[in-house]
Amino acid sequence: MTTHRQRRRARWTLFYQWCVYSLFLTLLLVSLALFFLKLTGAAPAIWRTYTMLYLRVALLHTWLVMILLLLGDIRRPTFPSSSWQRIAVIVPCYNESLELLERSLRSIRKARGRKEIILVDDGSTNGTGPAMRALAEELGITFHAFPENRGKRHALHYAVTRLIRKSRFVVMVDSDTVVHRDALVRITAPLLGKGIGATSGDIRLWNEDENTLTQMVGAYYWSALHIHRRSQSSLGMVGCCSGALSAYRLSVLRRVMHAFLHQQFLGLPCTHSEDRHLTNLVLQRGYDVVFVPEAVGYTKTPATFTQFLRQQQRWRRGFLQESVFTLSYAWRRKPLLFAEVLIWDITVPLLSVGIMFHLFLSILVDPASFVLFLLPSWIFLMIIRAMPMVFHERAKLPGLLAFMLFSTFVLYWQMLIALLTLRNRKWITR
Amino acid sequence: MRFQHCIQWLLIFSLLPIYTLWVLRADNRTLELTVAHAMELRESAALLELPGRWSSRDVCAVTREEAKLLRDRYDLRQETIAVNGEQIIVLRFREAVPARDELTRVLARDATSGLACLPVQEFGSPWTFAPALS
Repeated sequence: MTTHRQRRRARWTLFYQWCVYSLFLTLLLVSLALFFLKLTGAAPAIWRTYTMLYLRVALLHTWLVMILLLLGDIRRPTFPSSSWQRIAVIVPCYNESLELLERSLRSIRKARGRKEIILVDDGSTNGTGPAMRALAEELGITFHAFPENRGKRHALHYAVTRLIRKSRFVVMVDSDTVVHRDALVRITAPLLGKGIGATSGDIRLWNEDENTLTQMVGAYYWSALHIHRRSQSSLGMVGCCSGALSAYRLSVLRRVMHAFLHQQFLGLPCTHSEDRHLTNLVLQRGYDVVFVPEAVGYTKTPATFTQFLRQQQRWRRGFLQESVFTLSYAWRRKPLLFAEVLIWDITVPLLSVGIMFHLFLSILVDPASFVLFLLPSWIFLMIIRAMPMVFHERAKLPGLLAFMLFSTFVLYWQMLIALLTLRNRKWITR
Repeated sequence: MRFQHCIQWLLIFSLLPIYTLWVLRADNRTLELTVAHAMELRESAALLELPGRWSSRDVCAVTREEAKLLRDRYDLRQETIAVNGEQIIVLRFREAVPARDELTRVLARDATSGLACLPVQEFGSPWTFAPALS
């Protein structure tokens, strides 16, 4: 039974969420209004100021990311070995291919570290239940199956609150992820120190070479993790621990599991972005969250555009939803993260709708200008932002540029669809 | 840090300031007037007249004398650039471009002569050069 205080808190949370959501819509409308102003030719100074502001914010963000990366390189932390610590590895699954699941579980079983492995079947309907049980018995894995599908949050909640016995750390691994031999001890090593509540591993694609799309996505993953996430990690403010491979202190998880399970957004239960919400809850409690590039896991990305777009649509909804949550606490705990989310993650994409429309119009009306000027200057900025890739993974650079173009012309618009369908609760990749 | 890292950071923090300066300089190109295709327009003897106020897509083609008149009256910056042996006058209005009829008046042209309308290069676009009108 909820107390009066809890109900009041829920009402304030709902009010806050609607206010921020309205702000998002307002930003979108302002951007569209600016674009129409531009079309009519009225007030050109306002359009100039708008486009200059956009460019300057992009530039400022690039400086910020590079400075944080440099900071992280200069004071690279070292962590003691955690190989003697007991680790609980939770693998939630739903309708996973038995072959992929077996690969994942065997890799976890072979990985270094003292561990208890927990497999939670979230009501799979593909007939793999008995095979999973047999596999779990063979590998000495704790197995629990829900009679019906309840969602990943329930699976994780159940495992954390009921199935873990003696471990101090929890590693969450997706059911299609193969972990490197040292991944478990490396990803939990930072948790031995004070102040760090969660860690995120380096996710690579084991089907990266399958086709052009997977190569583009692989390049994007590297850039997102080794540039953006790494820059956040230098200040302990990684915004999202990858669901494919992440680690948490059990003591912290147990404190946040209730809030995690019962999260609501705009009055509806949440079914997206468990990984980001869990990370948010850890950051909210005042802990640092870091990226551990030495902890490597290999996962699978959708290999068709349809599947990939559905996945991205789900991620974008979760992204917007979790950004609202981040803004509610980060101004106190992590001011820089607050600024980054507010300005770069939310305001810039939504306010740049007008610029994007103008870009498309320019391509149609003045293609020479686009090809001779806009495109080269955009490529130049992208290369600067991805400069670490030039040194460490040069072969991926064309894939990244291709992904960025794809993102600009296709994925960007999913943000708008996500904004307008934010209350959609369906898990659309199923 | 390893040597490769040092080179990486050296390169990043050399290129970033260059790009930053380029973006900041772009702000000075608030409204650029370029003298473009003037000779073509002159030869075709068709000076386009646009109704109403100037929009950011309109420019005027000016002679050296006209450039002086405009410079005396408005806050603008003039540069003379040599391209292929020709002297090109480029005018930049620091504020909004005046209305067409005002420019006509200032340049002492009659109402029928009009002003050649040429594409204005907006922020960031490359300039298009043509020989200055004599």
